[in-house]
Amino acid sequence: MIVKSLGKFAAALILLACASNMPSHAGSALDGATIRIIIAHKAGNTTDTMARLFAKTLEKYLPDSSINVQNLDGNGGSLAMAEIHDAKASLVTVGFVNSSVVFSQVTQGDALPYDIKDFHWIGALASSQRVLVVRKDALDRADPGKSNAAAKPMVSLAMSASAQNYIDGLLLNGTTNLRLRMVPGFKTEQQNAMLLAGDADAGIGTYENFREFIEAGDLVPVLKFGTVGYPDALATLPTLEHVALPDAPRDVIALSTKLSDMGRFVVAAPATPEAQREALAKAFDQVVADPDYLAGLKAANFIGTPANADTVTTFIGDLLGNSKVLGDLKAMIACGQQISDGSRHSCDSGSL
Amino acid sequence: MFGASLLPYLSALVFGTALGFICGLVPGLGSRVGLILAIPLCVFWDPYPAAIFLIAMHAVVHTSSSIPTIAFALPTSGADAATVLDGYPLARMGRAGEALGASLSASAIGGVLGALAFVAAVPIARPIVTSFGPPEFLLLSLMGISLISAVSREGMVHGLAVAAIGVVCAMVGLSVRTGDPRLTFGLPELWDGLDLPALVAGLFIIPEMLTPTRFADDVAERSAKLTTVKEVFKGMAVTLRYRATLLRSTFYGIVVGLMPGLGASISVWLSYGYAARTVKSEIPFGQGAIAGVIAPEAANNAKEGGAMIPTLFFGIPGSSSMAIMMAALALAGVSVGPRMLGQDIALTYLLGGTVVAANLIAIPLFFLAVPWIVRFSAVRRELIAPFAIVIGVTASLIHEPNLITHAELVLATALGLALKAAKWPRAPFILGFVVGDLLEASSYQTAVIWGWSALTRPMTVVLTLALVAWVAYLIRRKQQRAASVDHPDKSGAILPIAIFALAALAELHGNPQDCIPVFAICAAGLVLSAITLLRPTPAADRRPNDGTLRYGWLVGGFLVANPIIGLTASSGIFLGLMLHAMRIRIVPMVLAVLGFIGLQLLLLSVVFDIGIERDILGRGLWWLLGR
Repeated sequence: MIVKSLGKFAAALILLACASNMPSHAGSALDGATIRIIIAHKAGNTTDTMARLFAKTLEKYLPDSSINVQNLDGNGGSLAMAEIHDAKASLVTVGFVNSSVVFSQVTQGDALPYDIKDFHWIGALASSQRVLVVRKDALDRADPGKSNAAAKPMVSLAMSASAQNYIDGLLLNGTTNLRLRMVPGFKTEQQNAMLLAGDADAGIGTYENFREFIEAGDLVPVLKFGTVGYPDALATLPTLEHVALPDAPRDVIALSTKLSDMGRFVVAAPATPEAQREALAKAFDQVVADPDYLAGLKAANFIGTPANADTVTTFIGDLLGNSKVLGDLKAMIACGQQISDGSRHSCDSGSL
Repeated sequence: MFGASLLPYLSALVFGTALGFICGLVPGLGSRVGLILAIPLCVFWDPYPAAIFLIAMHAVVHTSSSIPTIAFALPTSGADAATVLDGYPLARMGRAGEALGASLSASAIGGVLGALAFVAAVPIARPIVTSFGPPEFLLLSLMGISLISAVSREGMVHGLAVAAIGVVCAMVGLSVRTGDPRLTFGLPELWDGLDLPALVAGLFIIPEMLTPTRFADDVAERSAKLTTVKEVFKGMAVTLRYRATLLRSTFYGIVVGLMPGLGASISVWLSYGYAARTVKSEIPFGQGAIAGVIAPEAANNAKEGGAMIPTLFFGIPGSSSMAIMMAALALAGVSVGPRMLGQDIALTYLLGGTVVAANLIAIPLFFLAVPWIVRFSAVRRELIAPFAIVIGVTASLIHEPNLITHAELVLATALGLALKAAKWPRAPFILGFVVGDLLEASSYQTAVIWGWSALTRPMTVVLTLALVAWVAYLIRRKQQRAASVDHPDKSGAILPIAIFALAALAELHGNPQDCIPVFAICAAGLVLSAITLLRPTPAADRRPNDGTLRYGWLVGGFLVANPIIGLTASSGIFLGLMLHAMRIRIVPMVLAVLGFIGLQLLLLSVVFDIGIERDILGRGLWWLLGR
């Protein structure tokens, strides 16, 4: 044990020594800069852990920069986005947010103090691995292949009405036969406790969040929202694409799938100068390929499926410029809310 | 599991305990920051010893956090604010050693019993965790409301009015129902609600430090210089005389700890409030009752054992620091969840034993630290006050160093000083703030999901009966006002009335679902405040203030200058001016200020990683530099 510990200590020292001698491949525009990293989640959750791992590895590639990390969660990431949006050029500010910020833009639009068009997208760390899980005793109401209109809706909890899983639930209502009654106001740990207790029937969230319950047999995964970044055990799980109703807008489904696949975005403040943006993008590419970073992800049971700056920027740009898909998305969310409230049974036009 | 040597396990235990002790001792650090700092250190151990390191660190933070709370009135959390109500008055009486001893033994016993509960819960963990949900949280919050009288010696009506201010403040942020901003005045920075450390600093720390200390100071100084280990032992022994309080508080801590999402402060305030209502004490609660230290400290440590149950057995964090703990354990290579009830049961017992051992190791550490701190704290309390104020302000700004937090601190200080000057109780604010949020969320959740069928839940029935019995007991037993308590002044009603009116006006055009609770609380608050205006103040109590705001202008200037010229510069100027006003010689003054500021910079830039340029220099200078 002592030898192993000393060995690890030595390895850490060697790593640090190598890191200090590594050339700053990404860094000239960021040399001497202070980089503020804002994580749009509470400390301890999956994105926070990945982001801190990323930040730690980033220090190797930007040894002449100072990196500060803070958490700023709230309103589906909007709080963090607002803070990042207001950052001045003199303080390089980078955010780790998830795809809920895109949905917030669509659903809250003018109420937000920013527009996501103004941000610079540095990349995406990993898919959000989102899944729908249900309790075993609710499986009879969780078959997306049959109509569940007559059955009692499954209760599913979310932190707020702008949370990712809340919007996901509404989209499921709008695009599939599933019927979810979305109830906001529950912290993540409360959501899991209530699922375990049987007070909630279904949960939407990252696979990692539910892994222990799935492995213990308490919860059953029913579908996954994306196509990449899932463990092998979920390889045969149907996707949203597979279970959507024939007349559900395919562009909305494709959007939801893509957002799940990209999931965890890294975004730079609008005021970030171009040279620094390029340096950040380069550093991002280096970090996501770094062996220590990948080892850290593996140790924590995370799967990284990175996308680079160009890919994410193109995706976001195309999305925000497509008024049809945005309109369809809004319509599905609104319809899904009515189904959740019980004032509507389906999203067929004119149905009650 | 143990391999060839116990050394890694023992080294992890000792280092973890020491780190946790230091994190609790330094205001502003605490468990969450300590865990984040500890994560990189896990590389030195294999997974099991690393888990021991993390758990040991976390287990003793609340033990040492009572030291600055009692000695310097520096609570840095809502939970510590309960300890300061009686702990600091005891210190001012020259009984700091006794108070700290009582806190140590209460923390140790609470922590050990919490750990034993964690281990004992193995066969029944699941039904325990799944028995509690929003209906039970609602009943707990109602129980908390009923305890407002216990922290309102000055008068029930005044206490309820101040608690109503706390409830209104808890409503600031995004509505749990609709997700719309409420009482945020268009500021996105308030979407996440008000910052509790800033409120605690403004309501408690600064007003306490500005209280004149003349005669009491002399007594405290003489007594503190005599403080020895014997005094601390005496305090430890006193705890055993309050066995019922100790066990009850431990029970509350464990039960609340195992309810995910409930929040740490609830158990502490429930314990304190219950003790204040039921324990006979020569010295009234709020003036130095030793049971007022024992109850919250036992609950504070016991809740960590309770929180470990859902966290380690089900992967459901029982508190926000447990959420970080889970991530830290994952990075250290330790998976938590149902396997800890089965194939990893040995690890479960190991971690339970770690908590017990850490709480016991903390005792000699406590003895090392306390005598020096107690002697230091009593030496010319007037001299300590400026440093305590700067520490309190720094601790409250560390996590959210933005302009809005500064504003919250200034407004909370104004409220704290106004209430103190008018002899209104301040503790009910914290109770209202902590309970109000829970009350609204749980009542909404219960109504939406269960409605009246919630009353058929077994645990709901049990808690309902307990609540009814408790209220009946309260009604039968009259609250006895201590003879020495001053009657609150009518002028104290002005600020509450203004706050309620402003809050109601702010929500006039808001979403009806969100406005109605605000209007209801504001209406209740206005009625209560009006009642206080109608009550006559006895002639004997119409005394003018005795110079509480002697240094008030300096403190006000410090708070205002903070965001403009930065924390470091304003701290240095404030300390220099305060020490100069106290006629301290130039050389020692300069040395003290420079040394203190250097430590502050080190803490902020190295430990908390706060950007020196922006947050230390201040936005004013930052803007002048054209950034």
